[in-house]
Amino acid sequence: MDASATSDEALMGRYAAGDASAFDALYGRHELPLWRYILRHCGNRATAEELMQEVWFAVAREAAKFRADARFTSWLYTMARNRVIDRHRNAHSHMSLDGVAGGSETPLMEILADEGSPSPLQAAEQAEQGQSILAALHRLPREQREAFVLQADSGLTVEQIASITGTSFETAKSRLRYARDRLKELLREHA
Amino acid sequence: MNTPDDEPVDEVTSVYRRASDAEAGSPAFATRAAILAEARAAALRRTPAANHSLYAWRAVAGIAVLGVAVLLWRQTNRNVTPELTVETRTPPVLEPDLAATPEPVAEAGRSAAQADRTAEAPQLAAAPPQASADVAAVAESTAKVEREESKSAARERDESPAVASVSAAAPAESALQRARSDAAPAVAAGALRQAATDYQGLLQREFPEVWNAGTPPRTVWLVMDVGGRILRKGVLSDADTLASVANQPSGAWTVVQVKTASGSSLQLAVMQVD
Repeated sequence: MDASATSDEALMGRYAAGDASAFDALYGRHELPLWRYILRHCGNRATAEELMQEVWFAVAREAAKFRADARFTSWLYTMARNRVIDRHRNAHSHMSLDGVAGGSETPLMEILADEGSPSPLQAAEQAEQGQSILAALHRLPREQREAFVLQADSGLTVEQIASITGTSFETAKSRLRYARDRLKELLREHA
Repeated sequence: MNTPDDEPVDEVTSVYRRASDAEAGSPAFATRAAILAEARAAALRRTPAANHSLYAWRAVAGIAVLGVAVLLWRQTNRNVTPELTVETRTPPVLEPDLAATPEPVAEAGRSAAQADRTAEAPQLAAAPPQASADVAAVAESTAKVEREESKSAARERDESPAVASVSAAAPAESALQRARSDAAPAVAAGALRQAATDYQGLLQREFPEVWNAGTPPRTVWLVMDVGGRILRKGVLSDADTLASVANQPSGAWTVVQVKTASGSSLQLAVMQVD
């Protein structure tokens, strides 16, 4: 069976029935988006690794509890969000973009340059833009930052964002709009 | 994969995604490996419930069969194992009614076979003279022969002021010993009645006045030889004991409870000597 054509919910059902390969497919789809979400809200890589593991362990162990009519991404990110919030409450940590890039303290400019940018100038510009937007993201209110990251990094719909954050559709949409407008403004200021 | 909203990706989002892809990287290999390993382990634990319960039931059934087999094996071994013969020591059952029709007096030289049969319960009253237990008659010939072998031991037992019991009699009396150590119940009532009658006959013959007395004395005694010839006899007063009887040779007294013609009970002490 082609896992790429199978929905997240179907894969989850297969995994709950004992098909370990279905989990591999699910993990492959959602590893990086979830990782970014957790990383953006943890502030440091070590904590993000721990939370990443906690979330996926929970997925594996509670697969049998997953309702077939539920959205897998909503379920996944709700668990991740709850753990992030709990970690914040316990550690009183704050989000920081310092030392996040590549896990090796490598400046964003160098990373973008290694990605094969067309020209050094473009790479530099992109790196500078990226640095700016990441810094701007950090200055957003938490709810707007969360909504933006869920959409931009994880590709979730407004409805899903509303479900995960426990808000209404309109509230989630408003937060997204405000976040995007603020980032635009900050980018213009940077430019 | 679930599709996002159908909105054009604006510049902000694209810039951010580019920066995020480059900057966030990915989880460490160890984290990824741990996650996938846990997922496989959880999947194994979540093997279809039917198979799991099937295996569980199979395991339970196997244990039950094994348990039954062990029980059967133990039961079989228990049956095969030779059991020790436990000789219960029970007091002889005495014939309560000795007032049967007197039968011919038994000869002193009774056969050993009869002695064995009647020796099951020669537990004579070792109690004080006032003991009312009836005692089965002892095979006299057998006891007589064995008494010769341990006269000294019998003498010690005769020290007791109480009436000597068969159990305290000479160890030489194998019949008495068997009665003492044998756990078998008393001889048949018929044998007891026979023995009791013999003593009754003896009492009637040697002590006719006692036999006919309405109130007989408590104890009468006689000493006879192995041939049954009466050597000495007498009536034991309340103040006397068998041990105090004058000129009594060493030996063991056989004391039996017999009834007179009037139905009164008294003790007849008999000693056989060479």
